[in-house]
Amino acid sequence: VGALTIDQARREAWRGEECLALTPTEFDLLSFLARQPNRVFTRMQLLEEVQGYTTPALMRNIDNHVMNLRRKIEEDPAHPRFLKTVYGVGYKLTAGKE
Amino acid sequence: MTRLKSLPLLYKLFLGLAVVGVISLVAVYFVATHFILDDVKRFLISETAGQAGSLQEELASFYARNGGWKGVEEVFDAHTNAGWRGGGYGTHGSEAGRFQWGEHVLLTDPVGTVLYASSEGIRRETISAGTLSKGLPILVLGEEVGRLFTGAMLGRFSGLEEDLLASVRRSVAVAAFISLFVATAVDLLLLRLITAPFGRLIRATQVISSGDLTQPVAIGTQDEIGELSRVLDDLRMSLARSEEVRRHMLADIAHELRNPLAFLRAKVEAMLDGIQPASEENLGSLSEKLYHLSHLVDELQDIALAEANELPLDVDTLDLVELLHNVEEDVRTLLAGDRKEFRLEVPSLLPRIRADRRRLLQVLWNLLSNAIRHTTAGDVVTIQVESHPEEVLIHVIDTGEGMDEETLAHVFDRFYRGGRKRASESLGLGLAITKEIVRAHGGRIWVESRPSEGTRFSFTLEPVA
Repeated sequence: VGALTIDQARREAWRGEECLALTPTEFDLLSFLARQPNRVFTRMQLLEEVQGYTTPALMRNIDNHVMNLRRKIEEDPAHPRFLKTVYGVGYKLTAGKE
Repeated sequence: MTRLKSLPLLYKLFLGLAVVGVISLVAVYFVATHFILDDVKRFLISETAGQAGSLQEELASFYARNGGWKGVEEVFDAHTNAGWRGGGYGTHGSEAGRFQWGEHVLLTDPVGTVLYASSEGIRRETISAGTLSKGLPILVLGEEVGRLFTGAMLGRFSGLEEDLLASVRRSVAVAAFISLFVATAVDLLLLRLITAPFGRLIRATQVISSGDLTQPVAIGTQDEIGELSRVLDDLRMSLARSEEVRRHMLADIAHELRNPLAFLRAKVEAMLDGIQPASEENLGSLSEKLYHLSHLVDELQDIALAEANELPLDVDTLDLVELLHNVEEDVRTLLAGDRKEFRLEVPSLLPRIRADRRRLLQVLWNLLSNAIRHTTAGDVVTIQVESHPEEVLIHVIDTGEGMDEETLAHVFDRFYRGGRKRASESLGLGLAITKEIVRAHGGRIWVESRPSEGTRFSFTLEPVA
């Protein structure tokens, strides 16, 4: 996906030439988003995927995961190129073009 | 028999008691009169024997004088007229053939052949051997020459004596009747006392079955019926409680479903009307609400299935360590902003376990989100695993606000939400479902808690043998 490369078998993600140190959850989140780039996923969908189970009470936890993931994959986490927030909905992964 | 069965309890008991009473009184009457009359007869016999004592001596001297019984009538004839010196019964001389004290007499020889009888009424040829011994022996020079009988000894009583015997019979009969009457009255009173609470119990039960659960059942006796009424009252209260729970449940479900549905409707109508665009953002928020709705419905279905013991489980062999490490990262991210600490204490050697992965995660997250909800900054949430040969023990411990007794008692109840308000977007089913899932896995779950010290939920899982 754009500048991001995801190796499912080795559970590694690359940005350009740089190997990213992702936690298992972060990797799961990234690869799930990357399977369908540009598709918007709701927080519940994402959380269900990475946690295996969720309740509405835990919904905001995805924001924390996304924040952590952004810190690692984005050059400027405050202005994300790849992992974008869709206000009121959830998140999507884009190829990184403006 | 069917008519007897349909009688009210009061009459059945009364009938029973009356029959028993009559039977026992009749028995008492016969036994008592038999023994009393026996005694009275014996007394009368000994009385007449005393009075006949002088006659006995006269007869003995007559025999000694004459060397036989020939002409013995004159001895008796001498007494038939006035002048008899003994006896306190007064004279009955007017009655033919009786002696002054109103007694018949009879004389036999030693073998029972009747020699003289004072009246036709007692005349007979011989006296049987059994009766013979009752007579007074007449002895001349140590040898028995005859026997003297009074009427009483032969079962023939004089008028006065008959009166006495009759009055004895009468008194016993009157006593029996009076006691039967008193017993009947007392029985009726007692039976009323006993059966009256049944009537009240029946009315109270009818009130309950008619649906009015507000009337307390109070019979007020301390016996079995009182006990029954207390049990019935407990039943009434638990019915009232479950009725209330059911009402709240329906209201809660309606309330929880109404809000997201109203939101969805308004949103969809706005989009249909073109007021809002059918944008990703709008559809996304619809999707989130729908997710929330289906979560509520899932919970309802889970609890319904679990309580019918039909919770489907997709059991697999799981590596608990790996699963917990996955959870750990999620919990850490969740707690990151809240300055709460998370600890995972897992023994190095842990057997694999058999469980439904999704359900197990549901249990863990239910317990964890509970722990997280009831902790504040600086608190610690711990997952602690103990491995025993028979079971794997998992504790979810927090140092949060803890629970009071009341909450602790109801924490696993359906629709119980402690102090939480209605609008908490939850039906209070989480822990009830958690408990049912653990139960469905063959495990146990329990909770210990102290207010302001923290809470520890523990549950067990079966290790793979």
